[in-house]
Amino acid sequence: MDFEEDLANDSEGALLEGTGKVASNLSDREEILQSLDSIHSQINQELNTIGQAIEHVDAEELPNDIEEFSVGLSDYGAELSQFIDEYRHNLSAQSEYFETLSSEEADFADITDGIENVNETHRAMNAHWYELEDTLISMQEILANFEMPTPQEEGE
Amino acid sequence: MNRPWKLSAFVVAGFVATTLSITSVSAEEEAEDTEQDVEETEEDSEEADEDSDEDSEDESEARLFAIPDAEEDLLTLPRLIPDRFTYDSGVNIEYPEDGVRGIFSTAHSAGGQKFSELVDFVDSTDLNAMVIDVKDDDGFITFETDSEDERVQENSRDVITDVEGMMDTLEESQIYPIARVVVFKDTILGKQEPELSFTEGGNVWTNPGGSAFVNPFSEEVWEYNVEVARQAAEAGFKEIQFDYVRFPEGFGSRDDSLNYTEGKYADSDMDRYEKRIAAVTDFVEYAREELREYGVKVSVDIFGVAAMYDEPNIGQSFAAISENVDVISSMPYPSHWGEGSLPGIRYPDLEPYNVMDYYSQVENEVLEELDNPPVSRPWLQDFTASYLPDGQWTSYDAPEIEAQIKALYDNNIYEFLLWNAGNNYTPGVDYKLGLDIEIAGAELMEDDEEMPEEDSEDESDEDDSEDE
Repeated sequence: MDFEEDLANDSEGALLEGTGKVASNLSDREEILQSLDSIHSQINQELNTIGQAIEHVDAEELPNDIEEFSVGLSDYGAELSQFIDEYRHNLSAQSEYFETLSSEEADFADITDGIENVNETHRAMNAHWYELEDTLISMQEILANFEMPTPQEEGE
Repeated sequence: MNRPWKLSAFVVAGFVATTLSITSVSAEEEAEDTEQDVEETEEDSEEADEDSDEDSEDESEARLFAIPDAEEDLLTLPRLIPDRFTYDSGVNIEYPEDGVRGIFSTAHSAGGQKFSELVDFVDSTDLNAMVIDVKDDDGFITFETDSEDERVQENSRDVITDVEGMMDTLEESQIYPIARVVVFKDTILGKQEPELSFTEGGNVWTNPGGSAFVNPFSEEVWEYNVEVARQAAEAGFKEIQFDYVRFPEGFGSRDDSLNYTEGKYADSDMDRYEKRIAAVTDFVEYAREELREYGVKVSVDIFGVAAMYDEPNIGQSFAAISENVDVISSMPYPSHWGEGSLPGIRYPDLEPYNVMDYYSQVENEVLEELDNPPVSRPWLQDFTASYLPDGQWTSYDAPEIEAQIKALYDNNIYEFLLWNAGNNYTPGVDYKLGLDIEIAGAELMEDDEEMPEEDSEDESDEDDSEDE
């Protein structure tokens, strides 16, 4: 197990200096968050596009539920943003926890308490993510057949 | 011109396969796998491509991210905890690099004049460990502890009067100290608190030897014994060896007439045998978890026959117990097998090599099936079973001891303990058989040792009894 290996190799800097597999995993998950940031940015861009379409395109040419969908997408973007912030905060806390274990003062209770905290947070975040993911999948299904003219084309 | 809006555009390439779990494969490895999959797909036929696309689409619709089950823990407590996180008793004795080879010592021996004799014996041989009674066969705790547990205080006796001095001596010789804790055979506690034991007609039931057992279903009993183990760890013992981790022998034929609680197992759907195995196994698991912060290893003594089949009447499953300990110490003493009970061996006591060779093969097969097999460290017979019928026993001297050891080595088992109830061990035994044994890299024997010649006429009056 990576954690066990890193604890054993702590004297070589696996935890404190981030040369171990745990640090590598933290880095991987930070990359995931950056990807989620990218998704969030794209959602904002699409919301902007929808906003322009509502403003400039004849309403008859737009899908009936475009405004309702826009609100839903906006809410989703906000929730995703909150999730990203929360996850990033937890990731930072986990990183601090692993660094704490490098301290000479760290004892067995620090290990077990930290593991409990990490797991509790992880379960909560996973449950939250599943909800977000389900919504994302639903939106994907709706948008698969969601067509409209682009504002620029309408302007021409 | 209309354009379809597809949210799938939000999903960044390579993102789907990434994982949020520390215990799972890294994103990099996943990415490599994904790239390989892509290459393979490109080389496949169109039909295969379509199938692959459909599969991929189905998977994508199900989940966008390969993250573990929401209820799955991200971290688990490592099996091996570095020493700096665990309790420091101040006693510095390392686990023997080439494996444990030990002897048993009663508390009276360890606390008396015999102790120096035993230390000298270990020092002068290739032995390196000593199993010492911390909770004995009656249930007495053999030294005064600092425990705040009233039961522990009440049942402690000052047999080992100077534990610190004993540990200093062991440390000086780097003799690995193992605390033997007899668990469910406990006449003292059973009679003090019959509700923790088995009663019959209002009285605490005792076996034909007059010993009472406490109830393995009772979590109070679990906690009591683990508290004893904690005290042993604080005294400097590096390993806790639990003995009598089972129901009384013959429990299956009298359980209907005994009164006892099944505790938390009472409402279980398990049958009575499964409950017993669960209780015994759960105790071992509980003890190991509770002792982790002490950094001690946990071992269990178990009947040799348990490796061949579960012993549901007494609640012992060799495999289940082995999954929850660092070391498993079976007791396959040649004298304990019945006439003809092992294939091709009529009188087991006369064939120490063959008995141990056969047993080792059976045990190895069981342990190989486990995800995390413990170290095997069997008890060996260093006593003469003269109580057996004439012609069925032999005197156990150096050749017989070495025959058992050779059988272990021949089966890649490099740890053992010697049992002699009176702590009188056979001199002149070559415990390494001339080999430079590396426990990790286990060098095999280069030359076959000459098998000891059985000599049924060389009888001994010594009549040892043993722990089980």
